Amino acid sequence: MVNPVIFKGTKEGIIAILNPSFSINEIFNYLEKILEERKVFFSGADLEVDPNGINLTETDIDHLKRIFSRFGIGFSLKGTGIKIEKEVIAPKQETQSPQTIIISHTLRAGQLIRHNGNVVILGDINEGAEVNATGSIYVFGVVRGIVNAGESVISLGFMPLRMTIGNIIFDNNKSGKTYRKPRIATVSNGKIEVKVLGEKKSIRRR
Amino acid sequence: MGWFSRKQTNEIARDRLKLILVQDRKLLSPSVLNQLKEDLLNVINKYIEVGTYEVSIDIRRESNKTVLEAIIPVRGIKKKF
Amino acid sequence: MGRAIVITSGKGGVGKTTITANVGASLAKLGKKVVVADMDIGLRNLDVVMGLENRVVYNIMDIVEGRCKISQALVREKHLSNLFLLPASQMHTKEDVDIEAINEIISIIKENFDYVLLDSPAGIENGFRSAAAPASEALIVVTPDVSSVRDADRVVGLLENSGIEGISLIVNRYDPDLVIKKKTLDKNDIVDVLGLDLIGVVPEDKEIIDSENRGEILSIIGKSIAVQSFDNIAKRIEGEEVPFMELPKGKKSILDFFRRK
Repeated sequence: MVNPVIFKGTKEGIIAILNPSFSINEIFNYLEKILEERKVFFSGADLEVDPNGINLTETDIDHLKRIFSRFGIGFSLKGTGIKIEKEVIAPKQETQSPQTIIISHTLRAGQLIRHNGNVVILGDINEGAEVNATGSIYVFGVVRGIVNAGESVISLGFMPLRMTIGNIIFDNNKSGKTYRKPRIATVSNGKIEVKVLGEKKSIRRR
Repeated sequence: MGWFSRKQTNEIARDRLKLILVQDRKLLSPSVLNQLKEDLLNVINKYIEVGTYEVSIDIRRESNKTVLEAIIPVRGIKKKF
Repeated sequence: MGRAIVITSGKGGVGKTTITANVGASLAKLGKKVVVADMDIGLRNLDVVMGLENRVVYNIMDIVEGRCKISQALVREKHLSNLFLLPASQMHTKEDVDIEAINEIISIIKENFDYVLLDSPAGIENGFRSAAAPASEALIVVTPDVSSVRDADRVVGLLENSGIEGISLIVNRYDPDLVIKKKTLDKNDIVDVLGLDLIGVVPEDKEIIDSENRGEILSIIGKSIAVQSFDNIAKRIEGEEVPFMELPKGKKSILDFFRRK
């Protein structure tokens, strides 16, 4: 073991094994560095942290919690019952009126937007980018990355790496289609449906 | 109706058109014309005595003008005038 | 309680009256009780297209002005006993029309029939407004040309503001040969621009002119491909999913189409 933390992939997920040869601060710094560099890889994941003999104090565990939540990663601490859920964006009543922010460019790999409110992206969300919003996400382009919205996602194309609205995960057939007119993805009957935005009602009998 | 007796469309169309235009050129429908006649007679009867049965009123188009023709036989002038 | 649908277009001469008569007949063929109402006050057309000009006694303005009952004004179609015509007046102009009175009459008719199809006059003035007022749904008729589509767009805007519940599109006089030669709008382009649900494509069909001149409704007496599209439109209005036909290309006449099959 050369690094302060070793990451191992298993059937169940990713295990982060802490290296007792390093100080706890070295471990924290390394963890932050790796998560920053590889945030795409880890985004929305659930990790198991194996203290590997290190005695973690309450403060240490709190610090871990802060680091992981910064990256939206859930983790469980091996050997204890501690399990921190990754941040799930769920629709909820906002106490203050949510603001809408506008990102006036394509989101590139490694870029992350997290916002309490609505987000407008004037461009694409590339694979490797992520947007988390409590409201709706309006994309003047194509969704290829990760989007987690509270209410809806509007876009000219849906090929997401992952998309969730509320707690519902999008069943991604990755059709690769782009549209000239925007489509809206919302939760309907317990699953995510993509419809033409502003569909006019026809005279066909229902 | 056999193949031979089926009239050509242009003939049918021509015949229909003639009938339709005759009807259309009558400028007022029969019911409205009746109403006009009644109203006209009511006014005229205030000043001149007329026989209602012999009255004929027609409105039609003649070449490039429209004509209202009323033929009303006069019986007498009303005494109060 | 029946459905009142206005058939309108903005531009004149695109085939509203033909479509009203034929789709009305197709709905009647499905067993529905249908009234087709001529809302072109001052310029009567629906009666001629249906060959009923000799059977018109009363018209809609006679009802409004109290000279007759609604049932007296309805003219039964020659072959289909569940299809009726409500004729327009020739003696009035569109300015004479009392929209509220017309509304009331159509409402009463709606209660006794499955469908009331309102044949709107061209334009966007009083005539169109009185035709659209009693309707809760609309059929827009376009031909594959720029001015027709532009006029239709204007009309759709007006209808949307009036709170109409549903609007669908019919592309009339469609010629697939011209589309292939790229000399005319493709129906997909029209749908794309107007953003409406396409409910029918009616091909250019010489049989339509012939039947109208003879005073017969093609949908009732004919077998041509246009009849198939009218029937399909009626079924779709009723809620049935009917795939769009492949329209014959490069044919000299409709007979060639049947011969090939």
